[in-house]
Amino acid sequence: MKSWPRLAGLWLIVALFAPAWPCVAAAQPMLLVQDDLADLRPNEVTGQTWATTSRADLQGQFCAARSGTPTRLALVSHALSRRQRDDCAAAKDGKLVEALIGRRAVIAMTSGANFALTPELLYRALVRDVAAPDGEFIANRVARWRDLDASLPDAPIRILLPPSGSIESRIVSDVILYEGCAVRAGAMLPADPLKRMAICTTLRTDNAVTHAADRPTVTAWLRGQGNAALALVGVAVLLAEPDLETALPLDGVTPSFANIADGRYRAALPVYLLTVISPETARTVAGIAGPLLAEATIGPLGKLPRRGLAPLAAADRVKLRVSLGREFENAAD
Amino acid sequence: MRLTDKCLAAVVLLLALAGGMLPAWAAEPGETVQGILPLADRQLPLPRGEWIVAGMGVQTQPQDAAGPFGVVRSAVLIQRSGDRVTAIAEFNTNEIALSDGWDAPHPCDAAAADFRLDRYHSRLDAACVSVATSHITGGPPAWQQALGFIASRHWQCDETMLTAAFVVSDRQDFVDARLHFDPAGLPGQDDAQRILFAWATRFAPEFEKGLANQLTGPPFDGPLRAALLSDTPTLDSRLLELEALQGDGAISAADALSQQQAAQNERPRSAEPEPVSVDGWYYRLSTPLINLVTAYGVTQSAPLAVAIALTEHVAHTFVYAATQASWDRATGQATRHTSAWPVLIHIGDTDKPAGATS
Repeated sequence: MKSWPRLAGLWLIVALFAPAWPCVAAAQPMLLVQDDLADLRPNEVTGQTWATTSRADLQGQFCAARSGTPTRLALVSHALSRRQRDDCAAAKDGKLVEALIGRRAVIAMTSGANFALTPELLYRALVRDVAAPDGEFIANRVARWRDLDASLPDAPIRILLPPSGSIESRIVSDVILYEGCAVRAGAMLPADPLKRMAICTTLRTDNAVTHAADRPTVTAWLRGQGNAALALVGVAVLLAEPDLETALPLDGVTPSFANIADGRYRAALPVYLLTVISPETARTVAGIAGPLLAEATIGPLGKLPRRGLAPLAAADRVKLRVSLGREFENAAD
Repeated sequence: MRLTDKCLAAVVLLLALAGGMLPAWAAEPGETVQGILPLADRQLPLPRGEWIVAGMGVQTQPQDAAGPFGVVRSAVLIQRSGDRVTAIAEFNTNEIALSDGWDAPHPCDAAAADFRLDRYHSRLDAACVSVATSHITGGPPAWQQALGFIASRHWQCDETMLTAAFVVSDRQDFVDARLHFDPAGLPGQDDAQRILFAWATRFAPEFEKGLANQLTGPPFDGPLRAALLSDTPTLDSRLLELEALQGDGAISAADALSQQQAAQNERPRSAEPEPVSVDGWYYRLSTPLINLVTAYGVTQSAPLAVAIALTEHVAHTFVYAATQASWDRATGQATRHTSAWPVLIHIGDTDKPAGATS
């Protein structure tokens, strides 16, 4: 019972400072990173904590933030739609900026074999069920590359996939397999988008397909699997393993940084930095976005490419820094 | 400091001093090197990976052609995968530095024009790159030694390779390098030449850095891997260096940005023809026109005016060409260098006389 004076003191403090809570809470910057981009580890670049959020929730959270929140930045892999942009900008007391800072990509590497790939070939090599001539979907039993196309190597299909949950894994499903599926089985696919997605992206589970989880290195895996084995890897793996040299073109386009950056190579997703700039927030946002847009971060020799970001072209990186720098200056003035 | 520490420090100091007095390290056949081959006190860049020194030698020059550069040092290195030779590096460089440059350097003149780039070319320096198919047959003494080295290990070497040739020269030194790649490791012929040429143009500045002993970074990736990575490696490094200077406070943020923008336009241009300016076109067209109008005003005869204007134009052109030629001849004589460009034998040069022994 002797503790009541302490409790009373605590209550007094709470009561006195309660009106200031929203201000204290509002002072915290809102930094969000989409869950499958969290491997870019923006917190290590900016020195601030970035909350990991699912793709479905991120844009909603970002746009629904209180208008008093001084700093909002987010890393996302999809551009806002026009409607989202309008809604978001209207709620923000500032200018909404959506800056492309690089891309994530999937690259097909071999230990030396060269052959042409298309999304359709990869779909037929990877998917669990394929469309039979009568329109039924039956188990995929294709075992050799040559069974898919006479121009391909006469060797068993062995494909190493990116780790589950990674953005590279999503690129394989959402971009490569879905596109290959639409080309191969378009008319036979169900109208329901969920069923369609399931049919197009459910992977086979036999020994043609391996997940990258516990492999020592991709180079070692490729060497152990024979010449025509294929590893679908991201930029981080490419940069980490200097012995990876031979990459297969997809639809005739080499997966070079230049082709990925200009959008010609299609097995890729963009990475955008979203932020809102207003006169009050310009300096704070610049303080966080600056290190994130630095050459030492997004340049080819920077931190983020080593974590999977395919860099923009040099001219575009400089242009990005110049244009955002002007935005910050203009807003601050 | 204890006595043993003092002794240790003294030994380290003596070793360091002795190291400074020793001649520069020279590779021996059978040794492996990565990134840089030291040759004649210069650094020669090697693409990433392990390279085996297979032959070392010299190429002496015909008596009437030699300048005071001693000999041309040659080195041949190979890269292999299993028992297959996948790449050959062939280097030539002068032993003794000159003071007054090389007369009439003739870089890259043997290659197909589609795959040739004169990075720059003046009376004092030159740098060029070319790509062509080579027949890996005879060659200089270092190559003969390398052939024995390869045969003794029962390694296989393709007779036809794709070759990236580099020549860099300044007032003191030259480097003539050829990197031969097994086409089996590259895509189809046209793509392979294009990929190799794009790579070679990016690799070429490494030879200039090596000539100045300024190779410090990690080795350059080979053509296949480099084709996947950034196509502006030199610019990327420069942008990073400028940003680091800004971070250190050596230059302001505005200066850093302005220099980053300027860096994008920086390239050696002396080999490019001067563009004809608008002023040049105006001068070329206006002078005959004014002459024609003046002649017509005086003579009141169109045929006569045309004849006078044409005569003036032709005479002017001849006088201009003669003046230009005599000026070129005079400056050529005035800036002529005494040391002739060395006569070099490369791998595949079966028709040239062999150089001296290794």
